[in-house]
Amino acid sequence: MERLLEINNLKVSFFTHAGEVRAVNDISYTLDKGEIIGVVGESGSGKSVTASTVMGLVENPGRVTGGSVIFDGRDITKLSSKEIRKLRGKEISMIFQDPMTSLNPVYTIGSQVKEAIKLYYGKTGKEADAKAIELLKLVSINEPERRLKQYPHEFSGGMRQRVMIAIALAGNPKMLIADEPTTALDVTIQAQILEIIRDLKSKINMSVMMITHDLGIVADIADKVVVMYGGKIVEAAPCEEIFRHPSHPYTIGLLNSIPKLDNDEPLIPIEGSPIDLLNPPKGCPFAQRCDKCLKVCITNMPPYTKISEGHSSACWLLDERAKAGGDKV
Amino acid sequence: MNEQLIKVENIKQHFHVHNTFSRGVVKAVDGVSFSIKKGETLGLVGESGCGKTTLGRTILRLIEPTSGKIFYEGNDITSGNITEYRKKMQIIFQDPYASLDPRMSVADIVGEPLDIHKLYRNKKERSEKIMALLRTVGLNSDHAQRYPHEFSGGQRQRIGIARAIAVQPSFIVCDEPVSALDVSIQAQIINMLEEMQHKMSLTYLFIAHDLSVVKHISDNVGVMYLGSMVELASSEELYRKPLHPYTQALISSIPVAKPKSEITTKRQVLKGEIPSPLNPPSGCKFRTRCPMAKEECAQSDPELREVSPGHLCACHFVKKSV
Repeated sequence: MERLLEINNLKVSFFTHAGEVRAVNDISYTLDKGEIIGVVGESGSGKSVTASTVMGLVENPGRVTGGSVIFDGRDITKLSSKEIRKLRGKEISMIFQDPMTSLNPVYTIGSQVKEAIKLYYGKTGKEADAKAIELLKLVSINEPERRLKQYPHEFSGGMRQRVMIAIALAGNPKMLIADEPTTALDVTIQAQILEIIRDLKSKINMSVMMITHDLGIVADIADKVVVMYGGKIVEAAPCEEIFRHPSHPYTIGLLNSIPKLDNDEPLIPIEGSPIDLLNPPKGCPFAQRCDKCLKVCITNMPPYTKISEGHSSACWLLDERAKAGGDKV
Repeated sequence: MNEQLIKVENIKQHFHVHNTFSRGVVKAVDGVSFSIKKGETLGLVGESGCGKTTLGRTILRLIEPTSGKIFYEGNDITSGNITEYRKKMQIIFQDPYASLDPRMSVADIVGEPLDIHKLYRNKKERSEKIMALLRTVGLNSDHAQRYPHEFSGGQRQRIGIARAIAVQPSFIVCDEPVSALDVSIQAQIINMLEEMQHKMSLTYLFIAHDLSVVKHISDNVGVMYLGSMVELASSEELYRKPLHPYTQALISSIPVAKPKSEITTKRQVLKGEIPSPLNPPSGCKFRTRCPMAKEECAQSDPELREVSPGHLCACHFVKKSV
């Protein structure tokens, strides 16, 4: 498979009055053509900031402080804002969590879809009409001719999210970033949207970065997964692997804290609260909530241990050196 | 422990809509009946707009019902002074960011119900009670003088829970108490709610759109669609043998955190969207999205009836099994 995106040792910080917030702290991952990657983490884990960086959307007081984002051979972090603008919509597109506020209420759906077609596809008039209908069909909107004449308030949440996907696809991008695209939707509608995203992969070989907090969605749709915590990637693995052999205590904790439909075992929560990114710990970001924490975890960030092909985890418990002489706290 | 604490009969909540764009009646809750036994949890699930939150608030008479009856321990509380019953029935809200007054300290938020119902003799007793409540929900006395913005979502929800249990209620409506929280924090709150239920023998009406959370915490579960209850059964039974086509679709729509190769059931994706509550379909309200719908569904609204002991379902095609 062909490599499309390569994130290398990326660091993004926000310089606020209170100090430097290290939102993304030295992360690396890759995405191939036609692949769906699930980026999982809770609020403040840095998953959305990573996506914004790929789109070139990090703004003051935020800054990329290290590393690179290589998209199709070019380093996005080195491009000028003019060059990035050429990339957006044509090469990389993004859809957001809230489809209710992403559309302009005073313009018809058609004019908003065609605006994107004009900008990113360079077509107007009849050709744009035809393309708009084709896009709406691609996201399974029935009667596209009639729907294009309607206004956003005539569309439900799920339908608006489809329109957002159609707009994102106007410039035939190579990659779609979906930032919690179904969080605001009901489960039956969520299932419909996930099916559309899966179709995009099979029909037009789209690469998708799926940012979510829901491990169920990841299991459903992703080819591989990275789990983020406190600005770091704590575990990365092919999708099947992460559910079969989760190896980082945070991933395991996350899986144990979801109620399951097929059994009634008591939930094992992860104690404590998420870390304060203003004062990130020196060692492992998860150390203070981890029930298996060693002394070394507090002082040193664990290196990545390779568990199997494509599966690695940043935990001292998996490291030979710590296994030999690790003291429990 | 088997007596009914809460019983509602044919409760209706209709809102009149009068504005530039539309006029008519939204039947947010349209004739729902159920009862909850002491110490048990009834879960309510359904998609947005199905009326589950309105139902919860109507039972507490935060909104006066259009018609129907509400009973607390057999006493009709549908009309008349509710103040006495406020001590027995409380609510935990969904959004811990919006449900706490940002200008009140935690001690005052938790203490307000004590003030309203005059549940202390002097200041010392008031602050002792507040500290005890904070400890119950896993906070400590250092937190008492702080303000809501200093807390994370999970901690705020704990404050909201402390406020709800301040008056020592026996019944709590939990309106989506964990849906605004991160997964790792959700489990903490769910476990705490379960623990409190055992210790204080609480009865819950647990409203959520997340079926797996509801299944976990509830004894019985009711499924709502456009203002009506379409299925009601014990939580075990409902997930093992869902009868209503809507319940079946709802359960199969949940993405499961498991490797694909271990998932045996086929996903059933519902077509279409929830119809407008201003203009619901005739007959069975689910028929526009139902894969089994036939002509008779448009003509008559199926009644919620018992199809096997303790399992109620409102569908023309579900046959009585006993």
